[in-house]
Amino acid sequence: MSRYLLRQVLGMVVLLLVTSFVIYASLFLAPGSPDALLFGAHTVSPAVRAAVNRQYHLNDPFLQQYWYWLTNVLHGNFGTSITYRTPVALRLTAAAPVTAFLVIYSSILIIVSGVALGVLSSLRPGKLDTFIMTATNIGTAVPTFVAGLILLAFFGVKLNWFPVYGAGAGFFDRLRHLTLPAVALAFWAVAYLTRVTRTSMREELQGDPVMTARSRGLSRRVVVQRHAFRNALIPVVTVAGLQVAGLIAGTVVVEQVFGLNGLGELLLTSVQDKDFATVQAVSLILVAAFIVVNTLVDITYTMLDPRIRLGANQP
Amino acid sequence: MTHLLEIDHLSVDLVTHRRYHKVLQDVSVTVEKAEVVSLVGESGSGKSMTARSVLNLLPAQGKMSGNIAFDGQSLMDSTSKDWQKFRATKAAMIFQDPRASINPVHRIGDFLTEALVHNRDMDRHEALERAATLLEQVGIDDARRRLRQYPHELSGGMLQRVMIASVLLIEPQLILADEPTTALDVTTQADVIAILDDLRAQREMAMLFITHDLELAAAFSDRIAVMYAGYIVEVSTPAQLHTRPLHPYTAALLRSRPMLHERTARLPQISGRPLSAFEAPPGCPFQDRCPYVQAQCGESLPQPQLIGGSIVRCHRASELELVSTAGAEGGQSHE
Repeated sequence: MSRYLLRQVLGMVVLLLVTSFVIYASLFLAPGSPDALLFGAHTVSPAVRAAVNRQYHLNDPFLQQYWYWLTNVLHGNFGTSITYRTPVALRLTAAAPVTAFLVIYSSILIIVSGVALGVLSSLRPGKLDTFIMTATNIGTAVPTFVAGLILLAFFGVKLNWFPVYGAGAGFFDRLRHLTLPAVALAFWAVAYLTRVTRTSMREELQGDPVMTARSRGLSRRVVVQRHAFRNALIPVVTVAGLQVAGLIAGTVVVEQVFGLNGLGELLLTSVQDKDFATVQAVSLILVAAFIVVNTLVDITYTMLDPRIRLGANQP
Repeated sequence: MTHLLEIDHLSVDLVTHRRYHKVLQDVSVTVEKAEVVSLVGESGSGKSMTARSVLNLLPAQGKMSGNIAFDGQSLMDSTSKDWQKFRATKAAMIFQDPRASINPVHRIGDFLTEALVHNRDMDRHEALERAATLLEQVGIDDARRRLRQYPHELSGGMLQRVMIASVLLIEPQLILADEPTTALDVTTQADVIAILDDLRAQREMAMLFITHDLELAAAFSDRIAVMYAGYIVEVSTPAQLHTRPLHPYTAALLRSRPMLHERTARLPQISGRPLSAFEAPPGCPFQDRCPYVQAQCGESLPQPQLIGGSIVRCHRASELELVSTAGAEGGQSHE
């Protein structure tokens, strides 16, 4: 078990290193260079240009520049934004909490309601099941930005229940501000997770272990919990993990719709401004979050299915 | 005298493709206390359905009619709570494939003790203690370590022993064994059956044993019921069945076994293919494959008759003289 964990974590670290390299390198391949951006249409003397290049290490070999960047990042220093002349870390600390709050809030909504609706649907065939399936059919067809605009128009503008703009300050104010964005973000995912949970539960309910459990006179609650739900969780965790990881990218859209200054918004504006250091930092954080979520999902598997642990122990 | 289990005129219909199909037709069989009755038949003949009906474990929307009584008490009007109680205390089932039936995500110890812990509120440690003792009795060494292992860490034969132990732990009066050795290789089969029969006999538990293996059934049952197309064609003792089968299907089945002592160029076979209950023509289900078919066979379902201690359902049972070995070619009728 501990060997398996170690392998997972090691794999994660290697993957993070590789992605950091790819992210750093890809901006070198992008059109435009930092100094061209800085000076714009101004003509500057070669001496100034040389001084600037030295300050930002722009003339050093590529690998050396990458090394500077990486060691700084590991110390929490994401460099200085050339466009805004402010440390990137400062801009991140303003934006990251909004996105993190949004992603966690939305994940909870997705997992709790998706699993609950799916289980309910599988246990109550008939009208309720049909209703939930119809609703999720519509749900899976609605793109996030459409869901966002509809929620905004109805609950924000017409009913005036929730604020339409900004991220709020303090926990409860933020919760109120981020409810509509979180729901918009969760909309599609809840519908999908409900369907996956329902299918998985129905399969387990008709499976052999459930038949065995029923044959022993166990109560319905025990049969459903210990044998159907527990076994049905494996595909559910896979899908939920992918969805939570997908939310990290999905925030870019929702933050636009609801005017939130989160990481997605920051990424978009820094790309437009050709703010290299910020783009690198935000990309790295988003990708890292994605990788961490996936690793957590893998570790959850081993807790759910003992057969996966065996696979890890085989040479 | 009351029977331990009495299945009386049981018919079962299942839904497939939104239509009801008959899978059991007028099945009647009894099991006495501490008796072993085998249900023998081809795949699809309704053996497993009969056993599952006893526990009311039919697939969704299955319909039962007729009567099933346990210890003189009819089970047909039971509520789902009554059924739960019945399964938890009186009758337990051993399934065909332990690899599929034992939940792979729980430890062996949890599998063995869950019925005791959840149904009888037994202390978990006490339940584990009992489970360990029983594991040793079914021939698993190092029981305490096994209790902490997961099903995938045990072989098929081991797992079936675990399944047997789990059933014995409940101390039921009746064991329903649904082809318990089909998924095992031949050498472990014999061991597992011997252990099952031994421990069952010590505890005076009755057993309804389902198999397609006539020899196996003959080896340790008190009576054998032969099923065809969802209905019982003959009930007899093993000795009687082998020397004097009464139903043409039983006789044909016996003749098509390979013999250990004789060389046969080609085994006799029963022409045609086995039918499911819902495909069977009106009248005797076996008529299309029966060498002794007459006009009356297509008219009505033969009723059970008692001949020489056996029960048989064949219109011509009293006039046919059938043999069970391939050497003697066919049977002669008295016409």
